[in-house]
Amino acid sequence: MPTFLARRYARKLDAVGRTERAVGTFILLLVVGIVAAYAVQVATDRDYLFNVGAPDYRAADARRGAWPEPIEEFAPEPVARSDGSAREVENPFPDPDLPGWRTPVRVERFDAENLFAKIDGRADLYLQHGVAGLTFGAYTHADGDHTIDVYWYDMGQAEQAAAIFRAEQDAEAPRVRVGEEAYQVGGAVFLRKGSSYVQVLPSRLDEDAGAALRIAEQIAGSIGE
Amino acid sequence: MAEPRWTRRELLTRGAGAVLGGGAAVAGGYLLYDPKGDRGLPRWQPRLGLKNFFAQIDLPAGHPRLSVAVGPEHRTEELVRAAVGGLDPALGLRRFVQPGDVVLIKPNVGFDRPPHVGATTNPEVLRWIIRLCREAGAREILVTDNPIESPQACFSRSGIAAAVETEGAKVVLPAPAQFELVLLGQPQARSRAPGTAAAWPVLYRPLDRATKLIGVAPIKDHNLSSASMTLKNWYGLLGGRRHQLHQTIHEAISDLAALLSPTLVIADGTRVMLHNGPTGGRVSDVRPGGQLGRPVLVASVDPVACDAWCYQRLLGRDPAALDYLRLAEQKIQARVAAGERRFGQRDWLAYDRAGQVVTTTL
Repeated sequence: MPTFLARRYARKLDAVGRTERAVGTFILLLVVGIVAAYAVQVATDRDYLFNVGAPDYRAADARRGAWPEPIEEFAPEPVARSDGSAREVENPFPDPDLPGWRTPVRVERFDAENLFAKIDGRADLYLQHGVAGLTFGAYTHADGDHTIDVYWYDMGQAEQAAAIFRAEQDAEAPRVRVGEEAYQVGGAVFLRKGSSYVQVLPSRLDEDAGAALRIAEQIAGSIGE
Repeated sequence: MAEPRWTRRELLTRGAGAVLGGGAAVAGGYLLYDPKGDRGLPRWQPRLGLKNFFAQIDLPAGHPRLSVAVGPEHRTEELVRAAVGGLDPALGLRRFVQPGDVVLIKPNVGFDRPPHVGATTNPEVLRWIIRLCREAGAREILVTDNPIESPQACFSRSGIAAAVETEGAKVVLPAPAQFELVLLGQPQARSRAPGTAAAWPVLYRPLDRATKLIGVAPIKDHNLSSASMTLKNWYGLLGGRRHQLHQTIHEAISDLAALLSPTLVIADGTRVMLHNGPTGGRVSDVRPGGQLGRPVLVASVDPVACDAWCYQRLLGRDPAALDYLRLAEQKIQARVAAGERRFGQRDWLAYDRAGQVVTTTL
């Protein structure tokens, strides 16, 4: 039956050849594919309009790689032994030697140029005190529920480490015998040794105070005299 | 079925038509192909401003401008209801949020720190604000921030993600496509090219979608700006190399204060970071209610007055000495004089004398 708009060209279906039907189907699928691709792109860019599940934090992290400042982060790399016979892991953070606690498996390094990417405006204070870099790692407990963060600042010189230690010091906090000078408050340990200024911050304050102190001792022990 | 028999003329005509049609489609696709998409669009014209989220609020002249709730610990729900209810005892948040609204809540999720450090908004405070928005009939509740560190780590470790998701609101994570250049600064800077301090990437898409905006900020010491409160909270909507603004941080905060006119702000004084801000780390740096010694929440339709009150009463400092407050007041009052409907004055005592500061002690 001829359509209103195609009265002149309408044909019966059985008059359409196989070849013509195949080409027509291909063109139709192509159009559908283009529309679908556009919809997917829009959905990807405006995911808050379309997503029905939980936010994809990992994807957000990956997308942010194009936006904020670059951060050097690495899983500790194996290095060759001096005799080349084997490889061992080099991790700046020592083994805590504590039941249930694991050494950081992901380590972030920042220099004076991008320190703000970790501590934002606080970086200016450290820059004033001559910070050379920051190494950050988180000790994790086997139950996955609590962590101990370590901010290990290289202040370049012992005097500068002492200066920043004093600038942030809680004068009333009880002293502990770690490194050259240290105190512990609310479970967190703050120490200095050589050019290093280290903050050991447990997520569970009193419960992990002992673990934080042990980790601080291990870190101080790993710093050369 | 037999193939139709075509004449030579029909074959040539149909073939030519197919070739022409296919060729036109290919040519059109080639001409229209844009590998960069929206990101390739020239951004030489930044947006000149943002929505005024307070302009449509029907707030009677004599109503409170500042509502302070002081209470014992672990009674967060009552604190939130008292703070918001103090702005309108009859309607509470319904004065500000109506059925069908899309509410954007901007907490501070800036750092990968647990809640007890006080570097981020208290997730329990956020939880009850979301609940109040839902009770007021909000159609959709969005929560967003552009953290300093990994969004996954910050939203998770701060407890914000869990609070948002259990209350049925939605986290809007920062993504490049959601930022747009917005003019940040004085109008005469319009002639500057983008990428300079005048045109800055702002987390625009959630702001565009929302009909109401609520800022919820912890009260913290800050080594650069002296304090981080409700006005500094908008910093988390900036993208790009925003650390460059640290050089002129008071100007930047006051520019943001002028740019953003929220529906209301809530100052979270449940854990006040008195020293070593904005990151903190010592529990001894944090005290409930700061100088007051008890958890405090402040709800206000005047962010400048709110910050002045918190700076004085919670941090124990003189608001007259805080540069960005002075600059924010100047810039907002200039906009008020130009006809914009909003509040922005440092002199919270003037509100107090007029009976427009409500204090509720639980």
